[in-house]
Formats: sequence, structure tokens, C-alpha cells
Amino acid sequence: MALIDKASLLMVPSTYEAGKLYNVLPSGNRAPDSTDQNSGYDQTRADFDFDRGSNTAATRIGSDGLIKKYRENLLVQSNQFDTTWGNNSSSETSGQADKDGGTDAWLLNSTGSFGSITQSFTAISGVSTLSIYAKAGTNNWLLLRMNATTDARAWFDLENGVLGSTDGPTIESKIEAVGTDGWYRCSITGNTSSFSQVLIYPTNANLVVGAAGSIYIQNAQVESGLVSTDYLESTSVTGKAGVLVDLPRINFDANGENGSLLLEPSRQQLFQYSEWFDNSYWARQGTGGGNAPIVTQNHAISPEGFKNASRVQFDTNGSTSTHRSGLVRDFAFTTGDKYAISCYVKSASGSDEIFTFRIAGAQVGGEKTATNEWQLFTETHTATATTTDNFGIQIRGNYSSQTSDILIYGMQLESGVTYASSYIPNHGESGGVTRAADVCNGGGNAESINSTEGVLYAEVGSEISSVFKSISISDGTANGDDNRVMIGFQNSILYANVRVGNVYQFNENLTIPVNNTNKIAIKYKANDFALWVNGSEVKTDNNGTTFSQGVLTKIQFADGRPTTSVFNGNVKQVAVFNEALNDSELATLTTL
Amino acid sequence: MKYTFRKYEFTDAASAQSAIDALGIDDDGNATHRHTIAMLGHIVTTAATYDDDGEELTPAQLADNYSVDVLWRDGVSEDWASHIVWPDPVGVHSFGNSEANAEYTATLYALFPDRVPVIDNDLND
Repeated sequence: MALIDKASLLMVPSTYEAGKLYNVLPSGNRAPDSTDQNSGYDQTRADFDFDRGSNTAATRIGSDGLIKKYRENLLVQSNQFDTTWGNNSSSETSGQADKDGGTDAWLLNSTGSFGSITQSFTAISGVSTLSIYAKAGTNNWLLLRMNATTDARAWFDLENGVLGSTDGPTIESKIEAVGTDGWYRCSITGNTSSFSQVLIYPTNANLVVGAAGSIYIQNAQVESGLVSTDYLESTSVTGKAGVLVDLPRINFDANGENGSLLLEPSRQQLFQYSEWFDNSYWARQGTGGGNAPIVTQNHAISPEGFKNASRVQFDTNGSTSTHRSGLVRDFAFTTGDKYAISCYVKSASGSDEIFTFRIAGAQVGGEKTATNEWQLFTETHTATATTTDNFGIQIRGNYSSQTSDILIYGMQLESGVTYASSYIPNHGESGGVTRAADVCNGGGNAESINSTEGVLYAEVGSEISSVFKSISISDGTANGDDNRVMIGFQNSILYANVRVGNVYQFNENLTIPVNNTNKIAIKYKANDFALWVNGSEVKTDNNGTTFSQGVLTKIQFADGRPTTSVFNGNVKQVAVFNEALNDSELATLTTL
Repeated sequence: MKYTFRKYEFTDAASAQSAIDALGIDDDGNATHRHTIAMLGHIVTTAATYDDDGEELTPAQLADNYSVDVLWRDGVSEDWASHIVWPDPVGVHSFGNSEANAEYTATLYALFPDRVPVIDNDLND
């Protein structure tokens, strides 16, 4: 029998849905009752409840190594243009030959000068993108309009597949051929205020606002961000995908390996534009004789897999420390304020390139080297003055190179923290975007946890923090820390304790690299307690009692109470064993 | 709805902290509730201006009141009702919850119909 078969509760972060993280054990398959009925899956068995009140503010790394976001098509009936959509001197006919060889396209016919179809939705502000597939009919041009406080508009030549004019707060328009049958995906990206309506016009020339005639259309989409992503079909409700509210995040490393449950505290992204750098929010500074950097938006494929990375070309134009070239944003700060900055960076030249972070007006972390691979760079700093100054990226003349040509994506600034958390996109909120905390609790039941003896096992990497982080089995109540078995972390110290009736029976600690993935087990049994870490028994105690049967009923990513000392970090596996495993078994269980 | 996004203003940081603490803290000062709270402070009402070298020309102007955003979980505290404010969607900050943002916007427009954005129906504009 495999050792893991002895587990009475096992969580491997692989099966989940919104609000729920499922355990592998207990299996939840309920046997038929005495009437031979009511078998099946027992929803109430022992799974964890999961909360995170954010979707657009949360991201993860997928198994393909790419950043995954929440995506939403804000339009409803996105390919049902005779429902919800309104007509302005226009009509539409379904069943037309589409871009994929089917008949899901629509003929949009304008009968008047300004003929168009339109859809209104809840107003949004900031950077967003409107896209649609289109093909020439009797008209050869398409006009897309984002109706907002100030409209953004873009014209598209569907006969030649080239862009026409843009106006208003348009950031960019794109036309991309789809297949060889004259279909194009046309998109307009704008930075708008109170964007609440789209209008789609067949037209016959650049800058003409609609003209009698027809075009073919398919699959309209409005989404937050700088680029149009894969089309999401919507019905009477908007289409949603990706990192949903309350959905546990299984996070992989940049190689798409080592998937683990990501549990993070609430954090705030302070930069208003974390992906759009070619705008006045970001100061392109050339100081002391240095040249302002040249920023090219949407220049290359980003770690997200879309062409929304920016190229930044720095040139100090001199070799002294006063020659500077920087891409920065000013914030006011106070002595002692702590910051973490992070950014994905890659060389744009094919050779190694350098850059440094600037936090609270200070150069921090020294020269960093951008290579031909995307890397997430992070740095922290505590402000040493009270003033207003720069945060961002720059190079100086006395560095190893006086120029730098890099790609950047996802610049993030967090305050009051000692390390950078996962990426929080912000497409225009000037006061920042806050990601709510991941909270995973309420797993287990009296059947899966033996109170008199057992093992609590965790394969985890904790965040390094002065705030206590813990994983425990207890009764899960507001006084649950009085009777608990707990693995805890604070700074670089691992804590392990068993507390019965608020009296410690086993209480040990050990300095380890807590943010590495460690395999940790606490064995509890009357007069037989032990702490095992990474294959070794590191602490023992042969004196103490355990709990009465039925006391321990819950496993929590907290200290026994539901909301206290909540665990933050990466979780690869958590298990409870209903018996005190022997030393050989514990060695096997915890060996890396 | 599990999550509700609302915005509040207090006279200063201390009164904001007092209201937050009243939501529940344990003996160690840890929150015992599951709401998410962002203390925005005195938000910028007029941005600073800078010259071409990035030197500040005029400082930012800050609001007199102290702003706090809350993502309520399972219900809004009525004790905070006297501090609620309704800036146009979604103000300067959100919790990155599209459903909660949409509910905030819909509620704002229901309470203040005159603030619904007027859609420009001039098709030739």
C-alpha cells in the first residue's frame, strides 16, 4: 500500500471550482443508503471553502508558463445581432458564410448615411478594446466607434486589409487577416471615460461615418486591456473566462512546472497603467543631459502571450551618474514607507541589456540584466526621506552601458510590503486596484481527522513575513487556537506546536528557508510528538497528552481560528493521517 | 450578491480606523471579519504638473476627507451608512471585481438618474 493511501484527508490543488477547493480524500463518493438510494457525490464531505473577491485584479501563471487573467466580453449576444442590438437605418441577416467555413456570419446592411448597429452596456473607463470580425460586402470599409465622454473611432479598409484613420482617445487600431476569404479581425483600443456604447458602421471610404451598403460581420467583443484576446461568446449574459471571483489559483513557475495553490494577502497595485507606457502618465525623463527614452507600445509578445509588451529604448547620452534616462512616475512618500516594485523585462536587441529600478527616488538593487527570455524582476526598498519622487525603471551614464533596449510588461508598485506579489493589472484606476485576499478554510470533518493521534503534513512554501502564517487542524471556531495542531511561519522560522485546552504539549521551532517548498510533518500522539522536515526528524517530545476524540474537525489555512494568522504562500499538498506514522513512513513522506 | 463594493469618506484617518476596528478585531489586533478594506487616504483631486525633466511645477491637490473603499462580504454594514459617498464609476479605485463594479454602477444610477452618462446619439459626430 502506498503511504499516501493511509491519508484520511488529502488536498492536492488540482480540482476546484468557484468557491471550492476539492480534496482527493475523502473521495466524497457516498455509498448507497439502506434503501439502495442516494449514492453519489457528497458535497458537504471535507472540501475547503475558498474566497477571493477579485477577478480582474488577480492573475496566475498557467501550465504553459503564460500569465492568465480574468477575461470578459462585456457585450451580450455577441454574435446574435438581431437581439439586444439596436438599428440605426440598418438591418441584419443571419446565416452568412463565416470565417470558419460555417454560416455564423451576418450581413449588416446600411440603408442610410449613418446606418449602424449599436449596443449599450454598463459604462467603463480606462483602457479597453472593441473588436469584430468583418469582410467587405457592397461596402469596403468598416467604422468602429467607442461611444464615451469623448468617442474613439477607427476606420478599416476591408478590401485591402489596411488601417484607415483614427480619432479621439484611440491608442491603437489593428486589422489582421483571418484565413484567405477576405475576413479580418478589426479592433480599436481606446483610453476612454464612461465608455457605454459601441457602434458598427458599414461605410465606403475613410473618415466617412457610414454609407448605404453592406458588410459581413461576426463575433463582436469589448474587453478591458490593450489587445483583443480570444473571442468569448456571450449570450444574454456577458462571456467570462479565466481567473474568476472565488476561483482558486493554481500557479505554475515560468517553465509551466511545479503547480501549486497560490494563497496571497490583499495587495494594491499603485501604478494606474501597468501595461500602457506610451502615455503622459509615465514620465519619459532625460535628465542631466540624458535623452528621454523612446517607448513603443504593443511592440512584442508579452508573458501573457499577446502582442502587448512595450519596447523602451534608453540613452543616457553621457557617461556620468548625472546622465539619466528613465521611465518613471512620481508618488509622495514618507520616511520608513516600504515598497515593492516588479516588472517583466526582456531584451529587445537579442543581446543582454541592463536596467535598474528606481523606488522613492533611490536606485535600488543595482544593475539588472535583461536576457532573451522574459524574467520577472522584483526589488524592495524603504524610503529614507519624506518627499515626492520617482518610481520606475531607468539607466544612468556611469553604468556598464549607456544605452538599453528592453521590452517591459506588467510594471507593479505595492506599498507597505516587504515582497512583491503576483501581477495585478491596472488599466486606468488612478488610485490603484486592490486584489482581495485568497482565503481557504473549512476543510475536513470529524471522520477525516483523528483527535487522539495522527499526522498533519504540508508541502508548502510560505511568504517571509513578520506576520504569523499558519496551517492547522482544530475545531475551526473563534477559539480554535486553544485546541490545535499547527504548522506556522514567521520571518524565517518554522513553528510547530500542539496545544490542548490552551496548554502546549509540543512547541518547537526551527530556522529554515521558509519560502522554499518544504515538506513538513507534525506527529501527535500521547507522549510521542515529533517534527519532521525534508526527510529528517528535527524535534521530538516524549511527554504530553492529546485531544479527546472528536475535538479536531477542521483543517484550515489559519491558526485554528478562521481568520487569524492566515497562510500566504504556495501549497503543493496538504494531508492528514489518522494514525501516528512510524519514523520510516515519516521519512518517506517528507523526503524531498 | 456575495460581494458589494461601496465607497466612504471620513474626516481623518483616525475616525476611519475606528470604524474599521468596530467591524471586529481579535486580541492580537487581527480582523475577525472577511471584508476587504482599502484605506485610500486623502485622494488626489488635481494632479501635480511636471516640466520636461520631470521636475514638479505644481504640487498635487488633495481632498480634505479621508477615503476608504470596502468590498463587503455577505452584506453591507449599516453602521457605515452616514459615511457613504457615490463618486462616478468607479471613482479612483476598485477591488478588481467586475460584478461588484457593475453593481456599484447600477446602484449609483438608480439612486441618481441624472448622473447616467448621456449617450451621444449624433451618429455623424
